Parts: sequence; C-alpha cells; structure tokens
Amino acid sequence: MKNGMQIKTALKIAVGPDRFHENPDKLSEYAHGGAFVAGQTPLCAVEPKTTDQVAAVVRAAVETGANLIPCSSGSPRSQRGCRVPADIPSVVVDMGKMDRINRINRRNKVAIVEPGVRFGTLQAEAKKLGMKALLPLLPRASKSVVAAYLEREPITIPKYHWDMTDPMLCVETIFGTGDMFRTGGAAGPGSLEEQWKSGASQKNPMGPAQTDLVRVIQGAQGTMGIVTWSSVKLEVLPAIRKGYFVTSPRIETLIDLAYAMTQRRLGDELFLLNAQAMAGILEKDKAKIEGLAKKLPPWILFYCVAGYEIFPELRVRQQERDIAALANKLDLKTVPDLNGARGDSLARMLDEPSPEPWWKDRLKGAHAEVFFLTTMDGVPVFLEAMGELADAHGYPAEDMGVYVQPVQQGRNCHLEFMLPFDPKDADDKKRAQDLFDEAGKVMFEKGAFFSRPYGPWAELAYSRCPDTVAAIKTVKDILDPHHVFNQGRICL
Amino acid sequence: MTFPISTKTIPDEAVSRFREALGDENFSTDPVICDGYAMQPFHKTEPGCWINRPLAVTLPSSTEEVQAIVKICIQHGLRYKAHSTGWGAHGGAGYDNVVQIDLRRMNKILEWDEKNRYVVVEPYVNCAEIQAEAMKRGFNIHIHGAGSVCSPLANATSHCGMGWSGISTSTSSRNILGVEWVLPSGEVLKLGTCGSISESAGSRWFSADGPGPSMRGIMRGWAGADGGLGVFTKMSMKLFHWAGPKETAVKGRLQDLVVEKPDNFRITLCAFPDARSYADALFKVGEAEIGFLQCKNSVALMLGAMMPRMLRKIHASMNVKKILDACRHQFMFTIAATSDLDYQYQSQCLEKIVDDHGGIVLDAPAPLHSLMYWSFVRVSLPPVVFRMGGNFFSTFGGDEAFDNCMEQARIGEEIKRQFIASKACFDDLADNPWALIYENGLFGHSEELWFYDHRDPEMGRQVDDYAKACADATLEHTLGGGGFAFFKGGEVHDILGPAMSNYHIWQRRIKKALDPNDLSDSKFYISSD
Repeated sequence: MKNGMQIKTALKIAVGPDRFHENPDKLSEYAHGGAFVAGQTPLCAVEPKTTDQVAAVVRAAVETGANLIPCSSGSPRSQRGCRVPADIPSVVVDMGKMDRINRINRRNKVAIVEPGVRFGTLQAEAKKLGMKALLPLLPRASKSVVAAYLEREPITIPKYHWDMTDPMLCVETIFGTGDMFRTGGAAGPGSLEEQWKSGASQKNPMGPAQTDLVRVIQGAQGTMGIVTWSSVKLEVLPAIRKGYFVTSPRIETLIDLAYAMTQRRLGDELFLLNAQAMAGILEKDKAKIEGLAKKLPPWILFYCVAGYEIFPELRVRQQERDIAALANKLDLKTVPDLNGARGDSLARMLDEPSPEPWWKDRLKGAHAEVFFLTTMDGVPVFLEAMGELADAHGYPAEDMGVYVQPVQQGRNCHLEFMLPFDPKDADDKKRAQDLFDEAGKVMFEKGAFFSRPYGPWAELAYSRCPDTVAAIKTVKDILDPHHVFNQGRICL
Repeated sequence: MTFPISTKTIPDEAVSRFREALGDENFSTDPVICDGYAMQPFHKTEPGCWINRPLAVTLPSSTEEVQAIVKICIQHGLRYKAHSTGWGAHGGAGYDNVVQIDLRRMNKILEWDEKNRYVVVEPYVNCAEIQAEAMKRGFNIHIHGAGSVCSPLANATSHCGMGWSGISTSTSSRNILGVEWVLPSGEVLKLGTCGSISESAGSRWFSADGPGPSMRGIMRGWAGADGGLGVFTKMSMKLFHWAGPKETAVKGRLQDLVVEKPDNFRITLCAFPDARSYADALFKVGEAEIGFLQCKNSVALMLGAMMPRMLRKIHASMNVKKILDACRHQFMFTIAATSDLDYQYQSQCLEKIVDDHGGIVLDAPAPLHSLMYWSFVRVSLPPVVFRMGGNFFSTFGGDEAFDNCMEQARIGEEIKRQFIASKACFDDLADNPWALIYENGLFGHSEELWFYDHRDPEMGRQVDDYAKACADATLEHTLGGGGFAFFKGGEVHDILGPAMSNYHIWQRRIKKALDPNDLSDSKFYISSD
C-alpha cells in the first residue's frame, strides 16, 4: 500500500483536480457514522462524472491500495452501508455528480439512470411521459434511485415486486479489476444505441448467459463493484387512483387481508403501519404527531386502487369491490378517510420523496431502525418481542413506529421498527441505542432474516451460514481481486 | 448409426466406494443401463440420437448421498452430471468419463406453505404432480415450456424457464425462493433464508437472496449451468393464485380431452393484420395487466403438433399456404378471472385492444375450448411437438423487450427459409416462432422452432449449420443476448462473450473458482480453461 500522498496524487490524475476533494469541510460531509457510531473522515473524496473516470479511480486504487467507498445519495447520509473505517486510508467515491437520466422510454416503460439521479427527478420525468417511478415509502429527497434499489429498499407496490432485484433491471458496473461490465440485456451484443435500434431496451434483468451478477452486486454494500448506471422499471401512471384505509386493533386481521389481496394481486400501493408511523407521515409537528397517534386505531392497512389507460373506471370499480368483499369476510371495512386524512391525499404523497424533516425523524429529531425480512404471519411474534424489549429498556413503546411492507408479491415482508430518539438527550439516545443493540440479536434468534446486513447485523446474519460466507469470499476474489472496495463490510 | 462408447473406465476403488455409499442396487456400470441415458436426440447440434454413454449410473436418495458421489468423483478425477426428469442432451453425459447422477429417488414434495405461497420440492418431482396438489389448495405454479412431466427444480436451477403462462407467472428462474446446492467441492450451500434463519422460525424457505450479495447470481443467469456447477437437491418455488376449481373432472387423454371449462375462464385466439399491430397490441395487453396465459403458437406449430401429415402436404398447395400465412400474426390469450367484474374488465380490455389494432378475437369454440383450456393449464401438449419430424430444435430465444423478440422472429424466419429450400428441415411455412411476454410485458421471449428428423443424416448434419447461422445473426443484428446459442457451450462463449461485456471471462473464472478440476460436466456450461 502506498502512502496517503501517493493515493491522492493517483486519484487526482484519475478524475482531474476539479473532481478531487481534500478540503476538511467537504470531507466532513462523509464522516457520518450512522445513528450510534462515531464518524471518521475519509482521506479524500472524488466525484467522477463518467464511467471512464470511475474505471480510472478503481485502477488507481488497485495501484495504490486505497479503499474505495462508493456513495450515491446526497447529504444527510444514513451511512448504513458506507461507513468510513478508522484504520484504512479510505476514499469516498461520491457518485452524486453522475446524475443524468440517459434514456427514458414510454413504450418499454424503462429508464436508464445514473447513481446521482434522485427519486424526485426521475418521477418528474416519468410523469411527463405518462409513467411513474417505483418509490420506497417516502424516501429522503436526497436518496439516490440506484442506491435505494441496490440496497433492496422495498417499494410500496407489492404486485410489481416479482423478484428481489426489482425494480432494478440491468446495471453497468466497474469491477475491482477496473473492467466495465454490463448485466442482463444490457450486456449486448451491441452498444446501447445498437440495441435500441433493434428494439431492445435493457429490460431483461437476467444474465448475460449463465451468470446473473446484478444479484451479486445488489445487497453487497459496495463491496463488489461501483454501479455507473442502471435501467429501472417504470409503470403506467394511473388515470384514476384512490387511497383506502382499513383499521383494526389487531394486526393479525389486517395481515390476513394483506395475504388475500397480494395473492390475487389486488391493489397497487399496499402496506401496514402502526398508529405512530402513520401519524409521523400525516403530521410534521411533534405535538400533532403525538396527538394524532393517540386518536388513530393501533393498526392501519393502507392501499390504493388504480385504473390505467383502458377502462380505468371499470378497473377501479372491480378492485374496490373485490377488495371490499375480501375485507368483509374478515369483518373489516375499507374507508377513504382516516381521522380527517384523505386516502387520496396520502396516495399522492407516496409519489414523491418525503418533505423535510424526514418523516422518520419528525417525532424526536433522529431515529434508529431495525429491519429485516420475515413472513407476514411471523410479524406478531416480532412485535411481541420488540414490545417486551422496549419495556425492559425503559423505552416508550408508544414512540416506536412499525412498518410492514409486503414484498415479492406478498410472499414475505420487510418489517421495520423505527426507534425515535432525541439526539440532544443523552439518556434518550442511550435508551434507543441499548434497545437497538439488543433488538438485532433477539430478532435474529426469533428468525429475522437480515437480507441487508448492515453494521452489527452482519455478524449475526452470517453466523449461521458459513457456506454463504465462503461463497461470497470466493466471488469477492473474482470480482474484486485486490479488495479495493469497501473493506470490512458484510462478511469481508 | 454409431455409438460413442466410452474409452475410459471407472477405477475399481471408485466402484467399491460408490457401492458402499449407495448400496449395490443404486449403482450400475451395466452398459444396458448406461445406454438408457445416452439416447438423447433433443437439443443437440451433432447428428444422430446418441450422446456419450456414462461410465456409471448412481441413484442417490438424499443430499448426503449426492455429496458422497461428488466427493468420490473428485477423489478419482471423474466427471459427474446430474439428471432428474431429463428432456435432452443437456441432461446427459457431455464427455466420455462421466458418472451420471440420476436423482429419481429424490422425488418428494417436502413442504407446503400456503400462507406464504411456496412449496419445497426435490429434483424428481414433476410439475404435474405439484400442480395437481397445488390446485387442491387453491394455487397454481409456473410450468416451463418442456411441459408438466418435467422437473421444475431442474429447470429453475439449471436451464431456461419460459412457459405459456409467463404473463402471469414469470419465468422459472424468477420463481426461486430457496435452493439447496451441492457445490462442485461436495459442500452444501443453502441460498437465502433456508440456510441462515433460525430452525425455530415457522417459515424458512421464503427468500433466496442474501444475506448481502445473492449467490443466486452465481448459480445461474438467464440460463442455468446445465449441470456444470454441481447438483441441486432442494428448491422452494412460488405458488400462484389459481382461479379455477380445486378438482377437475377429466375424460380422455391429450388430444381427446373432455373437460368442463369454468365460466370464469375465457380462451381466445387474437389475430392481427400485421406484425406491427400484433406487437403494439401486446404492449397494451401488458399495460392493462390482464391475462393468465398469452403465447403465440404459430399455425405451423399447431398443425405440426395436431395434424403433422397435413402440414407436410400443405407445401404442395400455394393457395393453402397463403391462407395460413394470413393467420400468422396471432396469439392465444386466456383470461382467468377472480370475480365477475374482473372477468368483465379483462374481457372488455382485450376486446378493445384487439379492436383498436385492427384485429379480431376468436373465442375457442366448444368442444375445442375444453381441450385448449386444460391442455394449456396443465401444459400437457409439449411432447406432441415431436410428432412432426421426430425431433425439433430451437434458436434465438434471448429474452428482451418484445420489439427485439419480433426482430428475432423476423430474422429467424428469413434464415430458415434458406434451409427449408435445401430440405434441411420440414417446411413449417418458415413462420414458427414461439413467443410470449412475461410479467405483464416486462420483457418478451421468441424462439424459432425447427422441425426435423434426427434419423435423416442430411437433416441431422444441417442442424449445426442452422444453429451457427442463427448465432451469427444474433451478433450481427444485436438480438436478445445470445439466447439458445449458449447451449452449444465451449467455443460459443468465446464467440459471443467479446460482444457481450466479456461475460465469458467472468463466467469462466467462476467455473474455475468453484470447480478447478472441471469435473462437474461443463459441456453445456463453460470449461474452466
């Protein structure tokens, strides 16, 4: 490994002086460590503008032994996956300046976006052509589309989530050798322009051939390659859309409805929240959030029905009636309002990133989150365990937000506990941290699947699958033989 | 006809160890038994019906026994190749020193999870068995193009997975929710939740990706490794909602079926004036999110399957050919509605889309509709594709946006016309693509079928020429990422790879890392050097 000065020199040559940063103020932007981890400042940062520059950065890292930490979202960063290690000369590769939508195509409902493109930008462009982007639940305005999809952030429309890679399709990536590689239909034959001419549109997410390396890059927290663009699924913008609430004191009943709906692919957006989480979305002010949370029923299932280009009214009527019939069998009622909040208004909110402050931080200014995959019928077990843990730690359970997002068309779900805390109140922060620390272990013992093993969850998640760890290490040695990407993350 | 009899022999010590691990009755080197695995005329470009005779046949009954076989093979430098239900050369020995691992004793449905809509199966359970049991529970499954008598595990883990109901059930590889995989090292890798969450958790086979990077991407890509990366012993696959009855009274067999078509199903053929209107309509069908099953079964395919003698005579009549040619831009479309309003919505959408594009909707008349309904739900007709010539071959098939699939069909037809003229295959009117859309139109599939008789030396010889012409056209016209050209294996990767992101270099590195001695039969995958 070369010294810091040699690393900086090589990187400055790779991207040019304008895209190289060592100013402490600039670097401090990357020093967040996450909710409970002290941040570290990187050695320097680069902001490549082209794929060739990214490749040059990687080759410079191979030559000098620098540790590259790719980031795409803007500030404030959660740093779930790209924390700067204390003991390795690390360089942040900030992809935020690669922010072009290279192509957007109505016929094939697809866009090619660079990592710096954010949901608001993509959504605006998609809408112009009668399409919609597929968003996670009210992401931060600074959240990168590519980063969210690479991190397997769940989208809110389960029927469009056929497989775990969705809505990401093909990617262009630079591996740790400095080689550029394209996955799926984008691999070729032919350049992108030639493919478009022959009617291809980078829609096939599988391959090329007998490998599917987009699956290896996704969920890898930047340890396998740096993605320089991705083709992403878009969907038809509904001509009519309506939002509905279903409430219950028992989440089990709402889960039964969610199973019935997702099995038949009824509904567009569809998720479950507890009162606290819903109040955090609907209100911005702490007092109002607390007030609304007390008035709302404990559990709320929200869904939209939509009609598209052809017979939209008929489709909406069919969806409304069929869902109401399923709800009726469970003694549930679908309603368009909830304590004065209109379902249609919430539906519109879901099309855009969250206004600031971010809805998860509105109650106390900051939050920690515990999330994993499970099955919907497994959710009550985790709720009970989390309630007991909160009590044991003196954490006010009523502050806790719960979000259940069916994924893979309802075959499993993302379960998320949001633990708000006041970052200026040391006791409050410690309570949240203690709960966070123990919750990971307890949830794991109860069967939580940390598909996205950030921070301390990696050790847990990999403890039961040495076979997977060995396989990942083998693949790492192929794709990143010099280990220039994000050392120390996941099991690497 | 020559038999490619092996010149290699299996060491006595290996024989002893196989017998010890499996029992005498589950191991054989008897040439009569071994030849049973060597007659594989389908899906090969070499003339004739024989592939390599395996050195021995093993019949494991468990994952542990599969591991034992792989480890014995490693110790003695023997190649091995898994085989479950089989359907062609890709299931058999690619070389002359291969131990066949016949998985027919691993034939159990292991677990149903009805709430979370998955079923866990072993390699030798076929789609027909799973579907029959699934329907009793209100579910259906994706059945790939080879049909219901084949193993969904073999298909999803190791081959391609396009099927008639792809519009609503996707493709096999995107239906995987967990896999148990005996690696070429003999060690077991469990993908996703089945390998890493607590035994005490109720459901354990619900997601195949992670933690962290997904090794599904190494296991397979658009195509599987066809036995070139170890052996798959368990798989969790998706269940889909079934809108039909839990039990169906069936009389007759195959083409004589009599079945009551449920009222909430509609079986149609939608025909269009030209290629453009046909494709445009399909895009709209996808956007309307309708349909249980959609597929172009060409006139030639239907005639070849149902009335092969008639198809052979048609080429003598130009007028009949022209009439049939006028019906070429069509697809079959089935609605399976979950309610009256759903039926109304889907039917009205279909009629409007077809009408807007100058086409017509032809409802299948009784009693034909019952045959079509059940045959396509059960995917029972693929074996009749062999009636026309005794064999068929397929080219293109690289999945992409449907417009690219249309190009594959157009160019495939042009190429085939030249071969029809030289009598390399039967005259199927040249227009014989099997085409469909997946996942409400996310992407499409089109493969060009080629009816021929592998017992005819001249026809057999020209298959390879035809395959090569299609592979060349794939590169020249940038058609859907290689498609079935991959299955020639070997040097094809070195031709396609440089035009496709140099995937062959990465794929070969994966093979080398996982199987350094190249013992997991890589004839249809890629060699490690």
